[in-house]
Amino acid sequence: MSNQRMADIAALSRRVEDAATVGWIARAKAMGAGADYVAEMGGPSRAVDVLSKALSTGSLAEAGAGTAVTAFIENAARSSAFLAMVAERSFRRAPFDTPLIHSGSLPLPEGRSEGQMIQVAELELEGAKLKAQSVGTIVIANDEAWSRIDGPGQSFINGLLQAAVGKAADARMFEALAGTTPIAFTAAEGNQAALTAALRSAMKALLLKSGQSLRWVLSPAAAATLSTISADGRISVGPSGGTIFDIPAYLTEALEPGEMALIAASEIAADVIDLSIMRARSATVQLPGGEQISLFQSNMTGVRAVLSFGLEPLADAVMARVTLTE
Amino acid sequence: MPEPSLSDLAAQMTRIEAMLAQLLGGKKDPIEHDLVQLVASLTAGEWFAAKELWATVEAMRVAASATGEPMPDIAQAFDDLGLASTRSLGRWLAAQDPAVAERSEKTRDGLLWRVVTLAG
Repeated sequence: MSNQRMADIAALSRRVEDAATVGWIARAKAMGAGADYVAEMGGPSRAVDVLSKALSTGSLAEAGAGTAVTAFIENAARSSAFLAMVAERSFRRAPFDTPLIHSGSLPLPEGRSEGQMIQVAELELEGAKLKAQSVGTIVIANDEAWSRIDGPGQSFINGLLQAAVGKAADARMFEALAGTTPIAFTAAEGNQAALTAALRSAMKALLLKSGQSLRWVLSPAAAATLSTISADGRISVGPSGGTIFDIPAYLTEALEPGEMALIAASEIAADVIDLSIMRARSATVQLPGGEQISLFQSNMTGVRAVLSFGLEPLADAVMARVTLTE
Repeated sequence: MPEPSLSDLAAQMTRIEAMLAQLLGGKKDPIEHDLVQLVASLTAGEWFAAKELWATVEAMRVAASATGEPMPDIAQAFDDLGLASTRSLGRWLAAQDPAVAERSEKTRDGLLWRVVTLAG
């Protein structure tokens, strides 16, 4: 390419097409339609490819649509702290199913000869292993909504898928991190000085090395509380996240209303490997009140989305929590 | 920079006149006039190859279709003018006033074009 602006636009267009792929596959599965339907309706060619490979698992990576999964994660990053951290590579990337035993020597003294003993700071011989796990969610919509292929219709379905997958992934991330003995702090909601001090303590507890990537994750209610605090411009939080002490902050629905967490993402090995999309076999939904509704009778269809990922803490302390008290 | 010669100035005048004619409509078909503007804006007034322009507009067309968004104006203009391949696009570029669609010597990527308008 000789024209940079056109090269950028062409690349962006391909990314938009990739990002639409997951929605199209979900639509086809919901409607019981195949590759022909997607091709005829002008859907992305990658969605046509995936649907024409009749795989029993619904795996997008196996069907060769890894870039569509990546594009989906990038878009879902808006509604999920975990996927945001995956998308911007905050976590440590590591190979799956391989024991990770690692260390580096202390700085070598001048004049050290080869063959001498190697001095290390620490060496964990257990070797954490990044293992694939999965988390599933079912997105239910009426058949009319599934069949809309205009811009707003697609946007609606994509939004449902991203929110559902993002919420499930965040919930699973906090389940895994709860098992790592998080360092806990509390602060009274009305006391700005105490709250700022608690946030600072959380940062002190986790900021131990150079080159670390730390990330705040806030419940929407905690973000609302922080949005009124500036701390001399060191805190800037709004509805779409922000920064606290120059550390990026994301919102999540996976935390309780008064909860905030600081995560040492660079001390956690994590990655997403696959997304599977299948038609849900269940035929009935139960509302919180106990009422049951038949999907078929109300012209609704569910699609199951399963995210395959790995998440393995590589240090003892990878999370600090700050809880607001009344 | 050396002083522009008289012939340079004359060339510049011709160019400005052609652009004005284009801007005021002139004899041109309105769709064709729009396409010149659209090409100038998509290529940022920089050099490009016809096959590059064709591939970019195709990628935009596919992305719009995949997301259910309206067809981009430039893809619509290609359709309206019956431009259905890199070759026909090249012929269309060659048919434009050379003052508006400048043409380079043959390069590794084939002929390069540069479309600049007064608005751009």
